[in-house]
Amino acid sequence: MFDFSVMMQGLQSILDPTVLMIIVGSGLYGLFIGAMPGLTATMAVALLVPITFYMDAVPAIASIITMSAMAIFAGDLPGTLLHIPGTPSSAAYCNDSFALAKKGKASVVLGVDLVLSALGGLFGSIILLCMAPVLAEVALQFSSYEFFWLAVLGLSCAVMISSGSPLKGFVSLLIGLLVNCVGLDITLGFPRFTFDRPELFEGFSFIPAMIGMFGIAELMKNVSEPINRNATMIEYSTDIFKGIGGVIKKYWNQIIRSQLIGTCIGILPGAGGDIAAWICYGVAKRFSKTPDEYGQGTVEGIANATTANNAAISGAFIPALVFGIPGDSLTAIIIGVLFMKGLEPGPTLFTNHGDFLFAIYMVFILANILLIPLGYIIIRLATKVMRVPTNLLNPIILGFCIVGAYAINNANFDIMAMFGFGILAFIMLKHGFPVAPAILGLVLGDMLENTFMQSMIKSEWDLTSFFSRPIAAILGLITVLLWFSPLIVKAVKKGRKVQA
Amino acid sequence: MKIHDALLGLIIFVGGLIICYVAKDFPDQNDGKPGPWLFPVVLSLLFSLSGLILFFKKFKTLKDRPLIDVQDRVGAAGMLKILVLLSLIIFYILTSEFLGFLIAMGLTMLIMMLVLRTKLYMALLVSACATLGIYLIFAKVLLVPLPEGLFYF
Repeated sequence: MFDFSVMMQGLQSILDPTVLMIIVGSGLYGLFIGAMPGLTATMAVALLVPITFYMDAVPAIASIITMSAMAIFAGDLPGTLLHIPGTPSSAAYCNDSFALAKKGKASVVLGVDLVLSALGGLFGSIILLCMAPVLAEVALQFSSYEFFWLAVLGLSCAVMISSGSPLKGFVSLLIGLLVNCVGLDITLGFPRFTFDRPELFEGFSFIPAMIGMFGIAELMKNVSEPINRNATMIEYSTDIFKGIGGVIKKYWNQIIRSQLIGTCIGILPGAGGDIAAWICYGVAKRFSKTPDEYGQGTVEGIANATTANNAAISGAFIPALVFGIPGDSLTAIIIGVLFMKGLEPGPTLFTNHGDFLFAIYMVFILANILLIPLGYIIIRLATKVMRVPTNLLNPIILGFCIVGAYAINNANFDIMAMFGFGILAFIMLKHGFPVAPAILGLVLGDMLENTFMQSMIKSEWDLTSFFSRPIAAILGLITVLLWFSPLIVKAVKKGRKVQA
Repeated sequence: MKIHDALLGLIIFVGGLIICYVAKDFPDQNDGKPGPWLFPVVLSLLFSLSGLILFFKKFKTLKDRPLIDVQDRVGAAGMLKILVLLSLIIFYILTSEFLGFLIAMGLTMLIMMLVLRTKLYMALLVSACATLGIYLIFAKVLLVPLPEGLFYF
């Protein structure tokens, strides 16, 4: 898989004291943001990216991975103690967590959240470590036809799986793809929609767009709908590890199932930790001996869902690293960061930058191990962290958004772009248009157009060439089936009704 | 404020047509094959089509909800805060080159904190510390050339 020298190089790059400090620092930052109701992990990453711009590739990606793993866990804290999920990934089991906390079992819930989040993340990391190099071997045989279908498949999944109606998801995707058309075209270098502004010749910078869509849009929401964090906070003991062994022993088979499902859902483009948590919660309820307890306070449901959302983070990295197809908004940002660092995600990453990849795998494992001590610290400090007033925090975030957007090109134009994207995302969210497909469109737009034009030029505009290679034909068939899946499901249901 | 989905569908439909109108004038490739116009035209047509579908899907609900609902969850106070937030970004863009980062950012944060009902002494203290913190991180550690302005800081 990896030769010894590559492994040593990878290990050396993460054992560097500066990198370790960055990992711990970003972990604490992730725990803080995750524990604050109303601030999501994606927003935290968007604010972190301008700083990673000035780091080497390994610490840059390591900081994002660690931060997101910690933030997803920390989202469970306000869900348990205040009945307000810290991130969307904790929403599925928020009612159960709070109900148990009210019964005096907050420390049990927090212990389950912490330990099973770490186990879920570790399991996903091992799957990533085992699967990614194997898939990369296969992907090395891919040409522009296969990559075109992969991009289409990824974007189609993002639309089908996204929250809300698929039609609105599709509109959101088209917005991302159209925004991506701004700038010089790849075939002739012709300026499209640039309005003679040289700043637009290279298209919109990715980071101001991210900060606008996740940072400014969330700030707009937060200042307009203040969160009631004065709700009574549940008191709890910090003896969180008591009884955790019994929970793992009792639900070990369900935990493994949720780890597997969570990782697989993470792999699907467009589906992140929140969807993984909902699905595993639903599956656990379906097969539970006590389904009536779900929603009223069940450790079983929490154990399944909290395992799944952290496993999904690692799963999302598989298509991102192997094919350059992001699994969720977080990996979409990471793909943007990789490009910024001159590393093109895809199979060549595995042949040319093995040490970097090994370092990334080790970071995943390290981040999930670190989750236990750092998570324990944040649980001890939870009452203080969650009381940080948002009327002070939101303006500081605004400051970071402005400087973060500016720092990429040292130009006020990028702050204007962030402003525009922020308004666009806020309007979209307010009207039920999911933002994730637009982000994936923005990231994958270039790949989609490049692979299409390359394939067409190679085949002299013969559209059937997209089905001329076996893997391309299979991918194309899967994509077409996915498009028509709602109709197929409808027809099958109708057929069953007629038979009945 | 919330716009009815049917009206949104129409806006998307018209928006797509406008983009298509602009993109159709982009050139072909040198050998006459489709060039820079192809993607934007296809995408804008799909955009228009989606808008049209949204319009017809939601057309029946036009009677149930107003075209533009001004009384939604955000309310007037929330809307005002959003406008202040956006105005402050524009204020920073317009004044940072002249006033310099420290003053422009300090004022931006101070006003936002006051609008969010922070006590004056607390807002002054926190905005000053936060501005200085951001300045140190970006200008001194990451060496980003933040605007200096009239007073050279």
